[in-house]
Amino acid sequence: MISPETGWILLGALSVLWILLGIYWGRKAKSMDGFMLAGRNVGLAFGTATVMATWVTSNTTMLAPQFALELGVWGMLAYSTGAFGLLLFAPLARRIRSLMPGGYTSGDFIRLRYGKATWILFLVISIFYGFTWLISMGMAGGILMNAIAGIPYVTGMTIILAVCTGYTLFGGLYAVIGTDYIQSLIIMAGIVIVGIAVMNQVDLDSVYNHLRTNKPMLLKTLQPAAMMAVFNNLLFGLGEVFHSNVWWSRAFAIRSEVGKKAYILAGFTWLPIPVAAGFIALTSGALGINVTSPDMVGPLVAANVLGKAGAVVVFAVFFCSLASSVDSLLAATADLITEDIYRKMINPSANQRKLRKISSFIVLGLALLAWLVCLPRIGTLATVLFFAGPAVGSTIWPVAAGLYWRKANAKGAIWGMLAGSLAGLAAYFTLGWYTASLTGAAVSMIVVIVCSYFFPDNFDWRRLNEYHGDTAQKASSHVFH
Amino acid sequence: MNFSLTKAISLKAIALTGLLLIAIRGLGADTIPALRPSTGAVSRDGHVKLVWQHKGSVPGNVYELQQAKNASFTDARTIYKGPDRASFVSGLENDTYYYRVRLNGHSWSETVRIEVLHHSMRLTLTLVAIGAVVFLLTAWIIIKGANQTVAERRD
Repeated sequence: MISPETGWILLGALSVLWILLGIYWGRKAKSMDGFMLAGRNVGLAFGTATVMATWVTSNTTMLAPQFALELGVWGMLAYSTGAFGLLLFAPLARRIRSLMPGGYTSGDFIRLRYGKATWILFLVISIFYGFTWLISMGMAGGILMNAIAGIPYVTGMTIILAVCTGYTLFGGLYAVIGTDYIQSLIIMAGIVIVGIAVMNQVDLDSVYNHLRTNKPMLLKTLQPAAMMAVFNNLLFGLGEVFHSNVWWSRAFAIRSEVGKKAYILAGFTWLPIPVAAGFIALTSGALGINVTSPDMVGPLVAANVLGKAGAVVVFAVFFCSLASSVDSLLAATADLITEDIYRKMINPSANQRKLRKISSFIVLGLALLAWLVCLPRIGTLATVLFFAGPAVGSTIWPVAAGLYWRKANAKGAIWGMLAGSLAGLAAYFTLGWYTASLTGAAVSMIVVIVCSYFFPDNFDWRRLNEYHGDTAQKASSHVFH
Repeated sequence: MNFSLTKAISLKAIALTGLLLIAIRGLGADTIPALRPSTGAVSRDGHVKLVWQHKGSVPGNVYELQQAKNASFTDARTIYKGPDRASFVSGLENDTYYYRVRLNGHSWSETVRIEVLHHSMRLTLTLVAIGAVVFLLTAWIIIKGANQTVAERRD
């Protein structure tokens, strides 16, 4: 633990740093393409870093330890299957760029591929998911600052949301990607420092013996909930990446020739992080640390083992992992609402200045709404995040089949998402959160395959290129007047 | 006169004793924490969160939480001793577990009974098999589609 004074100094320093960097990078965002998609010209290093840093969310640094504490060794591995989301999205990123060179959002794809009804349902799912993710991270910020520095939950949560909102407003995706790059370096360095320190201070034999005596199920191969969680988490990760505009916006922003490579590199770079983060949770019992809430175990153990100096590193790592995701989510969800709802449904003739203004209001509105929902701590991170699991899992097949199968059709997509979401929700409440995405994805897959077989479409891929390849003309129309 | 005086003193003594008993009972209640599971009495995944509270909490209080496999706590094991007012217990095997907590060595709280009943292996393996099929088919359509796209570009 560090004192609240040290916590405040760290919090202030990191907040000022991100806001200043946001303003610096934000100066590049002179057009809507610049603000929303960083000029569609992000290279391999920045591309890999932003994908990796965004995937190292509070969910990795705080939820992976929770998985390990609740589900044991299987839980730790279950969390690391999230890497498949990035690895399998790599070929999709290339496909998306080639089919939609002027695209903006994942909503664009669903609208052009399946029509308006499916698009509306997809937007509901996507915005709902984005919001639960945002809430889980706001909560994580409050929990983290309370666990490490004793800063009250509401104060910590408020500050992290306010700082990320600030620099996202100033700089759009340029600022998000730029700060992600620095945040990913801090995260990687911090994880190495924490890992070495934990290995030096913890005796593996005593950890194993403590688990075998007091928490035997955490070591068992046949642990039912943990076994279910493996494929549930894998499919949740797939659904998250395949449908969310956070990842589509990066597919549009990263240069087409490096997009696939960036996603593969990010997937492999991310893979060991949840294993390392999860392992430290398993040491909590042997170290005699009482865990009062499972989602606090990661920061609690790290701060306890490393002492005050280590706690400063942990604080910085967790702050960066939270910030890199909150900013991405605010930017991508605001883009989705601005493009798909405001521009497509409400005001198609809006100019770029107006769109940017609307986008800023949406960022502010989202942050405010998330703050209100975060105020009462409504559950653990896992229960909050995985509540969106059924809907998220149900989007995998409509997206994947829609990108490769001409036969995939609106009937399959819409009924797949509806039936998958409902079946997944039933599993969430009757069996547990660790079955919800799996059930949603399975039901949706069956519906998409059956509908593609019985009601085949013959989709013309050229219809996805809404701007007929004239991205240059579109981009020039986005320069502020 | 003497009789009325004795009667009055007796009544006062009874009243005072009553008040004293109420006070003692009240004081006693203040030292006995109320223990409850925040995750339900049946656990399907082998973990439980226990929370406890009592009136008049002050810094320096030490709570002791015990776990046992029988209601009489003959095999009791202290799983936490310290100032926190909650504890998360995980990795439990199928069984019935009993918990109780006390403050600064005073009387134990009421016992909480938790039944751990993991999902059946049949259901588990079915869901694992379904998950594997969904994943493999998803990977297959993506890899096949990506290869086809490359081949079409070459043609």
